Amino acid sequence: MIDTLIWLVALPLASALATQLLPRYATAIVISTAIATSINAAALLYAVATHGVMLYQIGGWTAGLGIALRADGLSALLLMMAAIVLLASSIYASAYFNDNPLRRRFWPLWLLLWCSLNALLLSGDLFNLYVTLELLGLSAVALASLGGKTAALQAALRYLLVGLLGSMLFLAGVTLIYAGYGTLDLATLSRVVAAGPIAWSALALMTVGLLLKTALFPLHFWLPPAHGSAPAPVSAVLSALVVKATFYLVMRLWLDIFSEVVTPQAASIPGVLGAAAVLWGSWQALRAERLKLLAAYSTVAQLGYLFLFFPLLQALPAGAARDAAMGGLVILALTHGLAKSGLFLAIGIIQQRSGHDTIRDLDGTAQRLPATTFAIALSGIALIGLPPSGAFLGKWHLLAAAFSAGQWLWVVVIMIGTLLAAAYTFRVLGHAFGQQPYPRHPVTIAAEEWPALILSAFATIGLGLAGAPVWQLLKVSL
Amino acid sequence: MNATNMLFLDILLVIALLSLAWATLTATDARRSVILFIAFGLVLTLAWARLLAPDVALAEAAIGAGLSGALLLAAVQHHPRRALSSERQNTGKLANEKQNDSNPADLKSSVAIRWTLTLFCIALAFVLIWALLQALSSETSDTLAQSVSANLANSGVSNPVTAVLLNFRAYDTLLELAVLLTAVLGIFALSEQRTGYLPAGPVFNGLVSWLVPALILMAGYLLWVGAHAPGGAFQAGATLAAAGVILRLAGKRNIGLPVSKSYLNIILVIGSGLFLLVGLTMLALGRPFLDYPPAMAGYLILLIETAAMISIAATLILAFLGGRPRNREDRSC
Amino acid sequence: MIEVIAATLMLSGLIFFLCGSIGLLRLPDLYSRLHALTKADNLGLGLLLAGLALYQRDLLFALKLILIWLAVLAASSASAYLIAQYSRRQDTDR
Repeated sequence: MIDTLIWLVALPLASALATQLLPRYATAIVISTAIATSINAAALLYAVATHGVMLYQIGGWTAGLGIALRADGLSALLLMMAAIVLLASSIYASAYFNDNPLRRRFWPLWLLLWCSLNALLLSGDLFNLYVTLELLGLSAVALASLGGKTAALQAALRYLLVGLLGSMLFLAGVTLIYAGYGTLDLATLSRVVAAGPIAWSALALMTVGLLLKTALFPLHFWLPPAHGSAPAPVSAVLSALVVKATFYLVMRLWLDIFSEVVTPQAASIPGVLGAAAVLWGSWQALRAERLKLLAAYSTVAQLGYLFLFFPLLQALPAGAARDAAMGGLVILALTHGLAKSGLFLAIGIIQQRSGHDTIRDLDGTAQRLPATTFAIALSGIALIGLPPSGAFLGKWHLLAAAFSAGQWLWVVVIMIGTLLAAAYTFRVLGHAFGQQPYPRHPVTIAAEEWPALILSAFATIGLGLAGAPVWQLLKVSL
Repeated sequence: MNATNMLFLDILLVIALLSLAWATLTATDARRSVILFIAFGLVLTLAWARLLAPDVALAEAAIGAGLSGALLLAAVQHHPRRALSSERQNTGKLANEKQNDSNPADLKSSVAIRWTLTLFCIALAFVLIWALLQALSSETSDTLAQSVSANLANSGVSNPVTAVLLNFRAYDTLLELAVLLTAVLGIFALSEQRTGYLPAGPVFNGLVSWLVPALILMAGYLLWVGAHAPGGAFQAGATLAAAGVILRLAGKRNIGLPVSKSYLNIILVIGSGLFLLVGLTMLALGRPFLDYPPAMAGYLILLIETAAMISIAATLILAFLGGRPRNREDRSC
Repeated sequence: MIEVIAATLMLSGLIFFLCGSIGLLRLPDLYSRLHALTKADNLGLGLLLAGLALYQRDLLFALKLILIWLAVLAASSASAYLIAQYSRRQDTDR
């Protein structure tokens, strides 16, 4: 039972090696791994819900000397989201890269990315987190550059350099922590860490490094070109999961391990940057000419919402109101992950069928690809935050927290951001409809359209109507 | 030697490091700056040795100065702008005359960026030094180092660095091997291998014919000695890769790597694969992942390190080759 | 007595190094620079190591030093040859 934790890392890694050795059977290996890992993630979620925090000491050494894997409600939820997105994207990618020679190089990197995501979400050790960040960053860059032309390669190179700079800053922070506290174990650290120059500078270094990787405004400059020029399944995973993984780390550091160290002034910095990201990202998304760029800028904006929670969570005293806001933050992140991956997959279909993704020339897409257009509409609902999407719950709690903390300014930002999101969503949908007749079967390419549709539907309906367990699970924390 | 002499040496090292770093950053010619960077790496090796960190010194010498230098030089060599400037060189000027290969407009904007970055880095360095001094003066006992030495007897090796890398924190090393694999797959994704160099003349061939066996021998030694003294898979792999780089520079085609793609894949994967297999075997035996039985630990670590060395060396050589293997037809010509 | 000899050897080795470095900086073209550098450094290093070996009076240590010297000799003569050859090829090309 408890081996679930290590298998979540070991199985994708083993399959990555297997796909490299046996490229002929790659698709079968990947799909079976994806199913097994999803079942694993669900088992973990169930175990965390029933037994509480899960701990696995690798090599049998006590945490501190060795490395421990830990899973609480937050990491189990994100792991489950990652598994759903990656399972759907794997099925999608097996059709997307059907006869493409790139497939050979795609699968090993894809599984390595999955392995690094799981390893990051489970890691209970600061240096190990650095290693997983490196693995995540490298595999993401390699995937983003796959088969790209000059522009894509330039974007990937910038992505690589930004990622390396971010990891280096993170590592500098880790070094400081180790010099100051003599331990790398997160659980020990959260007990001993105390406000002072060491904790402040280490937290600042690690946070800047992570924000660079999370693409918080104004450090988002690398994201739109990198996410906008990668292959569709890769864009989906980059936008939905890779930036979320580093965001998860920021959350862990600020709200969990260093929560005693963070002052209200400090917490308002990510809030202000988040507000700027919401406004700037939404505005750029509205002005974007290409669908993929629109989706990428929308990611910048949606990440901004997540950072708006930081000053509010800092201001609220521990209790029911704070727990509710925390749940809102997580459900917003989950919804965005599912909706954005669905959106990117749907855009990929349009791009493959019509050879372009220029928004102005989408005319008739609704008739040619009704299921795909429906997926875009569903994910649009989640991005705007209309009921019954999970984002509606998230934004509701965000607003409630802003009211109860008395920080009114954020409300204005949320309002404007939501209006802009509605504008860019309806702009796409408005262009997508034409005069042509509808096809007889709404779903025309099943292996590609179903994953996009299911992801978007899950974000819009599943999380919105059945979001209550999220709050239950978040009570299980380290 | 007494303390004053050592202080003199230390000051000399610090000055050399800082001035070399500065010269590397401010050099206008990419090739010159790479060569300065290699020199910087060598002095840094001395500094690590002086700080009584022979493991780090070895790694820095082999990877930081040696292989990174070779990689950077190869990159400069194949950079399009470099090719342009050598064309310009061919139109008249003497070969050993210094060339400034960037145009003035480019230079101006890059100077501004460079100065901003320099100031940023200096500020960052001061913050780091300040915080580090605070950290060091807080006198927390290094509990980790204590528990490493307390558990060293059960780790299967007597070198604490190897014990940490291959036993206590073996999981980190496993993921690092995966990072290396990812890096090489990323390189494969980008391009095909560059064309080789001209076959070497008699003098270079003579050097190669005794240097390469010596390097292979040294790699074996480093691998073996890692159990109880500075050394180990990473240093050994880098040394082996150095042999490959030399063979490549001498114009040898296959440089010891298999031609067949599937064999090459096995070599690339074996490091992380065997590591993972050992870990999972422990799981199958009812022990935690990567929990070696103490009696077997020494042998298992040697086995893992041998496989890791092979993969590391292959990864570094392929990075130097700059891309995925060409098809056989291309090779035969 | 032996220490005086050792010191003399080391000092003369250093003088060779100094001459080599001055030659590297002052001589007009690549070939003469190479000439100054390799000759001076090989001999200088040899003298320096001989001095060190005498100073330590340990056979194993001395053998290691000789091995180092031989390795440097081989490497520096081969690289000097390669640099000179490359430069000659470049000159004859145009």
